[in-house]
Amino acid sequence: MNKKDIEIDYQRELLDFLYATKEVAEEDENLRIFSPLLQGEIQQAERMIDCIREEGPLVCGSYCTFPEILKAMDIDWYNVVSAPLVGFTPFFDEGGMEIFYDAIDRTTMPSYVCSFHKIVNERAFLSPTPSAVLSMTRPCDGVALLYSAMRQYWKKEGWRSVDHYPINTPYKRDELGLKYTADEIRKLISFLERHTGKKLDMDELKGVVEETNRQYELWGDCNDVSRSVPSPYAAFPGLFVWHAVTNNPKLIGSAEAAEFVRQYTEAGIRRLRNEEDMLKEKEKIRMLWMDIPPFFAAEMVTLLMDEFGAKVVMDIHGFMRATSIVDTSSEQSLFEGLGVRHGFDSMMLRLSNGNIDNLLADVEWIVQAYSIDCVVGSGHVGHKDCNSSTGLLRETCRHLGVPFLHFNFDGYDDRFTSLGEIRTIFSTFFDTYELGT
Amino acid sequence: MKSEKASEILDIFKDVTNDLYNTHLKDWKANGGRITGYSCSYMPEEMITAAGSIPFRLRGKRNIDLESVDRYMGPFGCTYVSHFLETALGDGLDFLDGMLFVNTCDHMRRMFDNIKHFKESQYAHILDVPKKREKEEIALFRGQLEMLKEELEGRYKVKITDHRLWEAIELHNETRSLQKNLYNLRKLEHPPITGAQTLAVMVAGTSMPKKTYNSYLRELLDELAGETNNTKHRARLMVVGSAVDDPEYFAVIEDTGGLIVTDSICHGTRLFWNTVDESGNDPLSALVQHYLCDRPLCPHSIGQGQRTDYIRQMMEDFAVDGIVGVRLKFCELWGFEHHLLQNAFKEAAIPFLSLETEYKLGAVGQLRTRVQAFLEVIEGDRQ
Repeated sequence: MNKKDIEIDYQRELLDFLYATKEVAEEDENLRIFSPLLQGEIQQAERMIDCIREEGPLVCGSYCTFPEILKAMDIDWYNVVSAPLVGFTPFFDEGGMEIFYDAIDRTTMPSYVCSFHKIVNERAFLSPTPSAVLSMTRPCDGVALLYSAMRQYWKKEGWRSVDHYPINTPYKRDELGLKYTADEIRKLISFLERHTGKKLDMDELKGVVEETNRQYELWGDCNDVSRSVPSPYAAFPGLFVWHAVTNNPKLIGSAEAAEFVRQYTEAGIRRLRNEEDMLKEKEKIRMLWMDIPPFFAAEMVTLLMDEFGAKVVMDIHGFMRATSIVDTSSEQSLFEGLGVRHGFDSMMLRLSNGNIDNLLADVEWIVQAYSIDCVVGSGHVGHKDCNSSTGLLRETCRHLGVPFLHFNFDGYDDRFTSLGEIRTIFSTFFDTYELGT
Repeated sequence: MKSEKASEILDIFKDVTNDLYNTHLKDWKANGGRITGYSCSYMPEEMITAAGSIPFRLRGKRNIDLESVDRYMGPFGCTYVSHFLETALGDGLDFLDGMLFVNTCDHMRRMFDNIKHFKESQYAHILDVPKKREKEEIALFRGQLEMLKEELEGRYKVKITDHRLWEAIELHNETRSLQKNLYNLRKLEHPPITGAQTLAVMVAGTSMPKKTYNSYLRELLDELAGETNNTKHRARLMVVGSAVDDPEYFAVIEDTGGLIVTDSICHGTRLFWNTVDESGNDPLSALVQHYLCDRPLCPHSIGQGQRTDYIRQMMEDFAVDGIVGVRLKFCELWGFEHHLLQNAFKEAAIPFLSLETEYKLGAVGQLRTRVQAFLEVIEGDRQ
């Protein structure tokens, strides 16, 4: 089987899974709301099949590789570290989690290197061969080297000759850092124009960014709803919104994404208004989660809610910051604003990049605004910065009067810290601080 | 055979390496001098020297229990960083007048935050080093250095003039040239100095007044000129890795019969392989060009191909038989890099041994066994 057939087969398998999942979601009253997210994934997979066949310009990107610009330039792209390529696999491939274990165990990288990067690297052959690659040099040490590893791994298919643009993010959000970020975006645009033959229309970009601004505002509204006690949402409430607004190439800046966020927010308000009983009984402990959720988050949150009445009502990914709203009044402000949105404010960038005081300020604000009972400084194995932040987070929590739990897990390998172990860790923690009693 | 004088000087360098607050620093301090710690070889030492201070590469005490660190770091902490933090949170680095950090890895970035919050009496600053090296990054890094200059001027109440910077560049370039001369001796078939001894010389260069260091090193070079060591070695090795600053670690490798003849490590050739260009008009531009663009790269920077090319060139220049990759446990950057190098060298049939270590030397038996096996492979290939 040649590379192209492997790529198409993979997208087809993904599509079968997505069609089936969407069908299930549409039949379930509680899940129907997520249908647009699945539709976005379907559109993306269908488009990828076309792109593989057409062999036209196709960009391999990542989170935070300025999707607004890609959309405004009408460039087809995919997120190489996204859920469809990696995360969904165990659900539709009969190999299940073994696929991940195999990828992790096969590599010659040390055990403590981020498992997510190992999986992406070992499974890179499944992703469509791009005409250009965009990557970030942050948030973590591994991500900057991931693309070198992928290019080396994928040498047979010619990735070594595919041009790569690593987007550098400065440490400081000062005048110098912002000016640099704007220049970096200008260079990125030239790179894209060169490799795709498409031109950027600034008015088009302004329109896309204004639409995303509205979506970020809606995201903020949604977060406000989850401040209610009890929260009307399931655990990790902002995660779905984050995905729709920032992560799926077909949904970013689309009317469908806006509609999803609006409906998701309204559903929350409706549940609060109806005072649905189940909200209270499963939320004796309100938690703030300070890292990525593990791959087995669904099982974990069910366990925490059912056994301990503990719910993650906010997490560092799902938290929208007001500074992510971009000022579109001039080209410079627009580029600098996008730089802040993706280079400083977004998910792991906020967690890892820059001065820790930004993150600690988030914690302080969230703990108070969301009536948090405890903070979980979970440390994914790849996040060495989190590992070195535990004392600072503990101190901040002590100052705020909320207990702090640090434990380590591997986001993509439950052999590292199993669900059973996590149960024990939380049980001891809740007992010690008499939380939920 | 080395002269008595050469052995004496090597002992001085060894003592400086073994003792954080060594006698040279104490004397300097007693005369009212300042000492400024810095975390990484991306930090332009010349800036510190021009501010009238001794640049001191941050290290930790090795033989201490990591009692405090457990409160501040999780279990994936780089042990270099852990030992440094344990030492700094105690009084082990209180002789420093300031600590300058560089945003070169996830661990180190947060060390700056930890020092700021938990060692409030200590002045700390962080320098951002871009991962790329084009004109925009040069401007960004220059801006960072201008800020650092202002900070140091304010902190130490000195004016860092262009003249002072040029003087500092000249002094540090002299160090680099002397160090390169020392390494050139290692190109000989029977070098007069071992890898462990050289590492002590190199670490001492980051831990004592530069003028004194240069004078000792010049003397050492005079003593070593024309000397050879007739010990037969099983293989000539190059070490590629990160913050390896313990000569004892190299000694264990060399005890097995290998001879370390060159390296690409933080305390090795990356410090001196090129000198700062002294022909321009602007010393700051010269420093930016050197530290960001001209020095051999480490995995912090984009440019894996250049790093591999550098190693290949070194192998040729020093007639290297095999590469020993040494990385500190939990280092994501070098974990990835060694994976990449291992693959690249496998293709080229270059022997490569990847070793993982802790800051405090341990598991010596295991280390010895692995190196011995590696040497056997090299010898086998030779036959």
